[in-house]
Amino acid sequence: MARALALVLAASLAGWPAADARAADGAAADSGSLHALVDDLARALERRAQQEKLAGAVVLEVEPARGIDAARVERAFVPRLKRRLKDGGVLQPAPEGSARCRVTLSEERGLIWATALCEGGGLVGPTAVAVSRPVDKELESALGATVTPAQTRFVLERLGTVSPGALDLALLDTNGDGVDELAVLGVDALRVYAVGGARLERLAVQSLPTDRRWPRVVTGWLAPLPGARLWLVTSAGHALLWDAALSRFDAAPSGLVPLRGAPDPAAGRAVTSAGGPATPLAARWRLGSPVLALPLVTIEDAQVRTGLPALVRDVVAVPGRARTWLAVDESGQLVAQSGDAASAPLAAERVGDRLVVADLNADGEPELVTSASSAPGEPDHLVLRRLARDLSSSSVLFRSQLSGGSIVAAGSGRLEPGGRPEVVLIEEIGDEALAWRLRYTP
Amino acid sequence: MTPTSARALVALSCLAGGLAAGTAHARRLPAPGGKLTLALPVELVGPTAEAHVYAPILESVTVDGAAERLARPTLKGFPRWRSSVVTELTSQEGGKIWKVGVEAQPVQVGDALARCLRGDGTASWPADVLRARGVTVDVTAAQGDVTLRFSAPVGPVPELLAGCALRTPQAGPTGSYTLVGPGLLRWRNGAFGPPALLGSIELAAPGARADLVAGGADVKGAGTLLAPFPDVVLLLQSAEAKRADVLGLDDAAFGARGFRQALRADLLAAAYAQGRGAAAEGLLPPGVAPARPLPEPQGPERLAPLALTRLPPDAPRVLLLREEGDALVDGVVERLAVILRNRGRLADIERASAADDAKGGLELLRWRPPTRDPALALLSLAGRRKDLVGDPAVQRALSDPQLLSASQDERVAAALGLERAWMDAGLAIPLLTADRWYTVDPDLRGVVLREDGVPLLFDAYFAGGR
Repeated sequence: MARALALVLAASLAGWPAADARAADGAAADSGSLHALVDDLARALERRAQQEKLAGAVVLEVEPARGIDAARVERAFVPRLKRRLKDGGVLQPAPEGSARCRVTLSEERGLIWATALCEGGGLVGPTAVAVSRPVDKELESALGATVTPAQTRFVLERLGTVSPGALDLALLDTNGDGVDELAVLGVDALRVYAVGGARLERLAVQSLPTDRRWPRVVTGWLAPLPGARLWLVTSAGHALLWDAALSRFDAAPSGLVPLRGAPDPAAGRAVTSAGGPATPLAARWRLGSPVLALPLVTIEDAQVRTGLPALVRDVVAVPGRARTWLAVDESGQLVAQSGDAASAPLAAERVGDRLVVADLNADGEPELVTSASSAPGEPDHLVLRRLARDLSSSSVLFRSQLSGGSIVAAGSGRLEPGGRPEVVLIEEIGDEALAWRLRYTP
Repeated sequence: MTPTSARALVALSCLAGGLAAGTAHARRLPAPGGKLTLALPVELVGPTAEAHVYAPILESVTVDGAAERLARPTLKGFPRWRSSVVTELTSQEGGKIWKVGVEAQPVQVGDALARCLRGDGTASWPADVLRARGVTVDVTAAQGDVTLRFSAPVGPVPELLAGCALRTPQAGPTGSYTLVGPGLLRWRNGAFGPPALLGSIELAAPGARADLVAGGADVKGAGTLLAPFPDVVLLLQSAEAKRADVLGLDDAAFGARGFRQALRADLLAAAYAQGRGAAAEGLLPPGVAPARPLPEPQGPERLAPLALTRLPPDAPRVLLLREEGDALVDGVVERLAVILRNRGRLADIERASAADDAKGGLELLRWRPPTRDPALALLSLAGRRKDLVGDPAVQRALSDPQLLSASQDERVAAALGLERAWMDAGLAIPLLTADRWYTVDPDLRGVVLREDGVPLLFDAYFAGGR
């Protein structure tokens, strides 16, 4: 195979820099995980050589295998291993000899493995050593490769990092300055962040009670209430009201899930307008499930009649239109419904669990943000749609990955005084959670 | 096998096996409920039923989202493992003593661990592992924990416990499902750990119309789920067969290279495993052993035709044992018979039984390592097959205490040494690898394949909202 590379180390001994230069170079370059991998392997080889009474000249071959870039191995790994073994003085890489060690490098489930099989010389039989290290940025760039995303006129910008394990997100002006803060409901706590210039500043953390066991579906719902309060519900059974001023939880109505995109029509204001949130409508909660049961109810448990399906994942009201709703049904179908008419599909593709509606470009028509439902293991896509006036269809304005992770929460609000509404998304990628803003740049 | 017999088998048998569940992550979160039909070969019916009826002692953490990881944290000090039964694992005296903290019912957990680690009354690969190294274990249960006292240090105890289930003769189901009829598993309340998503699972025979089919034919639109590593087809040689060199491996004109060329592993995999297989490089399949060096170029293949002359009835005969009912094994047996005939020998093909060794002949074994840990995988084979451990070089490699080291690196190195000793001794010859796969309904998500190939359906759901 073309990638198969047998590198006889000793063949390039003549090209090595002088000892002093090597020492200076090594001090600067060899302090990270690549150096550690080389050192671990060399130590293991030397230890085994001493146990098996193998010493002196040995022919070393290094072969890159699964997930390893051959050229980078030759450039980054081989010279360091040669240098390290020579300095160690136990084994001397040589172009010829009766003893031979074949080193194979491979990536296996997040670990770089270096295995060496030595035979010949004075060895009674073949002997093997293996060392591993977790793949980190340095090993990735020294032995592997990476990728980057792109975007258009709707601009995606990174806001900063938040704690991992986010379940839902709401934007809420907690201090009355006309700018919304980010309230993030996580598995372990509710956290509030202020949006700074280039990063997020954590303002408050309130741990969730730990008396609940999580089901397999780990999810939560968060909705702002008038008076800088939040209503949160989780699939573990938490139902709480959080007061920003008092920083404490109180019990919320049980069995209900707040739908922050569906304000109570009696309140008559947009959920995240600068004027403050309206009380949201709610749906019935089903234990351990992301699917909610309609009819919609007010917080006082009065029913609100709609023509929506009986089981939904999210419901939002279309701003400026009475009794007009968008919903994700049980199977991920995006539907629209108005007045007493039956609901009708709004897009062919299935979408993710949550909807966000906001007039991002201030043209008087709201845009709809969803995540495209993706197969396990594939990155999520953010999808921005324009709705037809008669709500018979929608067209995709913008579609993009964030940085290759899962979109776990989305909400809308105003991040600048007097600015247009923006959408904030939380993406989880590995152990990191990133907050992004999606905004329109005219 | 008929569907009825498959179901009857489930009702009657629940064999041993550990568990390692994981959660698939998708932005449209799964809704609980629904029924799944699963078509399985008979040998997987028992382990699959047991895996769903009895709670695993330890589960390996697979690919989860951050929320799932936080909601179901790993065991402190063991980031690869989590449990709904065990709260804490600590070792003392260099791994000779392990304290297993449990949330409830320490006596029941202790009984289950004793059965699993000693193999009391049940087949158990962790017991095979300990037996192969001559390690014994005393299990004592006290308030809040179970103590395991091994006769020698044992490092990879979490890996071994992952092969154990919370199953005792006295207790009923402890997992997410209960067997309500032949081949029918129904969701139950009160399981250790979070409840499963599917409402019921029906186990059916191969060929039945099913949502998940073991080794099913490729169907347009359906997905394919591959087990994390392939099975290995091994040829076990008795000492007599090796001395007589019935395969011609020591014959300078034929040799190991001639044997491999004559076997045509690639064609066998294409004919009997839908092309999902290849010539085996070692006893440990890719995915269990780290990547091996590429084979050295040996020049072009010389595919000389095999000379199939008629042999007299009194020609030397070789006993060739194999498990029945596996098309791939049958195909390899036929090919071996042709090779033996070319070497002037007739093959007597007989059915192998679990207690048999190669009885002076050859045995074909389709082996699946029960764990991804290479040292434990080889020890489980050694513990099960006494005929493989007689060679002095193999005994020397088996006596390496690093096989049960706490360091994964040391275990891998020791396993590679044992594998090499077995292969050099000629007792076990790797012939080919064959993937284990399932065809999956395109709407079905969240199926996890345990390392031994058993499908786990705790997180399975139909994305179409069935």
